[in-house]
Amino acid sequence: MDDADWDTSPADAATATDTYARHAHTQWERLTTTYADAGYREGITPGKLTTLQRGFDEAYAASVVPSRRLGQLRGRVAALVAFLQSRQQQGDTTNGAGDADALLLQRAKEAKRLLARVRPETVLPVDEEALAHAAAEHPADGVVVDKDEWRGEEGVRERREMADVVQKLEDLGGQEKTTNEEREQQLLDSWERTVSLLEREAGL
Amino acid sequence: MDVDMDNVDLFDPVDSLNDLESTYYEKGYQEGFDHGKLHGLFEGRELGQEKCFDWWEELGFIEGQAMFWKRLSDAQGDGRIDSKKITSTTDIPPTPITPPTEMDESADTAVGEGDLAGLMTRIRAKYRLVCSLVGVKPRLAVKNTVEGDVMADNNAAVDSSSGIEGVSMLPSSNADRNQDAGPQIDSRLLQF
Repeated sequence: MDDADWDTSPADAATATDTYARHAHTQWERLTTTYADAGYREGITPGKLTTLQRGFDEAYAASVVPSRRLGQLRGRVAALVAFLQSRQQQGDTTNGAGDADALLLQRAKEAKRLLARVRPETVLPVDEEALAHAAAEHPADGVVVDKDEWRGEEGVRERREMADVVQKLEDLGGQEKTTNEEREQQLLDSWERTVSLLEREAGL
Repeated sequence: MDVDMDNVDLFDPVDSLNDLESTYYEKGYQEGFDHGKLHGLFEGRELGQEKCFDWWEELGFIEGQAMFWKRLSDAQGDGRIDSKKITSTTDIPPTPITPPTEMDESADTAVGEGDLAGLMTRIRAKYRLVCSLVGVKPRLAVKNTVEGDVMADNNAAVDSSSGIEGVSMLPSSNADRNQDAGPQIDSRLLQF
C-alpha cells in the first residue's frame, strides 16, 4: 500500500476505489477474453471436422445430376460439331444442303462455346444456409464476398446474372416465382432443348 | 495422511478462481466448436460440389459423346455415316461404369475410391478408343490422376485439346488420324 493512503481524504479514496474497480474490471475482461478466445480457436477445428464429411456427402449427392447433365450436353454438342465438320469436309451433303449445314455447324459451334462458359456455380445447388450465415457474419458486405470462405465474387455475380435471365423468362411467360433449384433445372432443360434441336436438324 | 472430509469446504470461492482459466476456456471452446460445426458443414458442401463436378462433368461428357455416336450409328441407314467406324462404339453403353456417388464416412474415403481412379482410367481409355474409331481428338481433363503414369507418354497429342474448348474434328486423312489417335490407346487398360 502507498505511503500516501493514510492521509487521503474520503472523496479521494472513493475516486481511487472507482478507478481501481474500473481497472480491475478491465483486467478481468481481458483475462476472460483471453481464455475464451484461446478456447474458441482450439474448438473451431474439431467442430469443423465433425460435420465436414456430412456436408461433403450432402453436396456430392445433390450435385451428381446437374454435373452429369451439363457434361452430357457438352459431350453431345462437341460430338455434333465434330460430325458436322466431318460432313462438311467430305462435302457429304444431299440436295444442295451445304449452306444449311454450314449454318447448322455455326450454331452448333456457338452452342458449344456457350456451354463451355457455363460455370459450375450456375448449375449446382446453392447453399442458402451458408449464404445466410455469411451474410449474418459479414453484414457490411451485403451478400458474400469472402473468397476464402465461399465461392467468391465471380460466382455470386454469375449466379445473379443467371437469376436475372431466368427471371426475365419468367416475366415473359407469366410464371410463378421459382426456387434456385428450379432455375438450375430450367437452365439445363433449356440447353437440352437447344442441343436436341440441333441434333434433329443434323438428321439425328 | 488422513484428511477430514467433513471440514473441507467444497464451495470455497477460491476454487472457482482456480478454475477461472478452464471455465472461460471451455466456454470459448464450446462456442468455437459450435461455430466450427457450421463452417465444417459449409466447407464440406463446397468441397463435395467441387469434387462431384470434377468427376461427373467429365463422365457426363464421355457419356454424352457415347450417346451421340450411338444415335448416329442407329441412324446410319441414310448412308451418310461411315458405319465401320461407328458400329464398334455401339457396344459401349451410355454409362460404362457407375462410379460411387457418396462418401463412406467410416472410411474417410469415397466408397470404392480405391477402385475409382482405376475405373476412371478404364473409362477414359474406352473413350479414347471410341475417339480413335470415329476419328476425333479426345477431350481429357488434364489432372493428376492415376492414369498419369500410364498415359503420360501418350498425352502430348491430347494436351493441346483438353477441355471443352479443345479442337474436336475429324482428321482430313487416314494418316493424320493414325498419327493423332493411334498411339494414344493402351489396350491393356480397356479390360473389356
